[in-house]
Amino acid sequence: MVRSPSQYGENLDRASILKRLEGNQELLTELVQLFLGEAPQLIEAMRNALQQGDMQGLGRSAHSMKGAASNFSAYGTVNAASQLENDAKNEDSESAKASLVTLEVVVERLLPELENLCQESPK
Amino acid sequence: MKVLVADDELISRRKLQALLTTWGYEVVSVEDGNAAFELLKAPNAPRIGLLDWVMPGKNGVDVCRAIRRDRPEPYTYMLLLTAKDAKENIVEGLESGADDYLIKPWDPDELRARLRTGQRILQLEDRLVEARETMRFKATHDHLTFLLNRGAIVDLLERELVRTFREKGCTIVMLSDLDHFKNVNDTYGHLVGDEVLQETARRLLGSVRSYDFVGRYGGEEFLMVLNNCDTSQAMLRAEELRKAVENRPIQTSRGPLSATMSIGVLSSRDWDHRKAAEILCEVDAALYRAKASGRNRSELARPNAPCNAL
Repeated sequence: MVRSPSQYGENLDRASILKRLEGNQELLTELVQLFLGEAPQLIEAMRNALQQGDMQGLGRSAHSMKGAASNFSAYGTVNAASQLENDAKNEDSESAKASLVTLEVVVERLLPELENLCQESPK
Repeated sequence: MKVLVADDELISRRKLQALLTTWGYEVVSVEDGNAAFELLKAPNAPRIGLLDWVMPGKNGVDVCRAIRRDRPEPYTYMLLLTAKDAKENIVEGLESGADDYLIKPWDPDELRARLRTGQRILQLEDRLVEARETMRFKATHDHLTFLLNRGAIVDLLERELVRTFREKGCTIVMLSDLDHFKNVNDTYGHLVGDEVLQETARRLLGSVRSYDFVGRYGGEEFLMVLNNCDTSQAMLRAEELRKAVENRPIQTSRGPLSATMSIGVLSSRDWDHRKAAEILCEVDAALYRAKASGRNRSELARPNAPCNAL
């Protein structure tokens, strides 16, 4: 199945994300910073795992990405990571390749959205 | 209250830690199941565990199973936090020993409420354990002297005899009886008699080592079980106990009263392995000889014909 990255466009809901953090904006900023640091590392780890045929490692990183993104209700990223996790579980490296590309595109879009999220804080 | 957070994913872990801290919990966080398991079974472990399901090492469900198997008490309240939302996952999670199950992304109000439920259950558990320990104490101790009661000290003697026989060690058994105690009761009343018994108990306990045992065997009879003894020392030890009662008058509400005690002494090394009942019969015979020879003395039981007075 060919997936178009556009179907995974994030539309982050700042209010509901903040509600899950009990309105703690500082915490939101901190978590976003953590994600900005962690996401490229996870992507890197997934590329390497895929290259080395380490499906277990790939699945673990995809699972982490899914968990990390779910904290921001970034469902596009969650779904893409989830798809990749499934591919890894099924040891379907062809599908995994495509899923990883999708995930990279989605995460690429997510990062600036998350940064905006922090700057939007009402004064 | 201390809470353990186990999640291999950094952001989820940090989020939990931050919120839990805001709610007044003391948080310990780890990145994998093995570390979670080690911490939860350590002394002074967190009583509540928030466990991610998918983790390196032991996963959350493995941790639940292992804790239920290896750490029955004090109870650990474990809550699985996971993205796995299929009914069979929930069932498997709960059957592994988790107390609760929350699907990610969780709502903070709900998590907070569920943690309060956990705390409530732990408090109930603690009260129950405390009540059980109180009952256990009452069931095994004499209510007047707080020494082990007859049932408990005889059980203990039975176990010690088996153990020391197996380890080729020895047990000293002493049965003592306050001399002319009936006179105290008759002259001063039972309340004063009780005071004499309480003080005697204190002195006996104060004269043995921390790993020896003293029990109230009957009205004014006390049974002592001493461990790892040197046979040749048995009579010396008995004399120490006897003098502990004789040396100073006992202060009672009716003034100081002198008391003395007769003791039958037996060292298990002088005997083959015998049941507690036989040993007690022999040591009772020695006590009787101490009484018959003028009281306020110790007599050593000697191996002779098996005791028939059972």
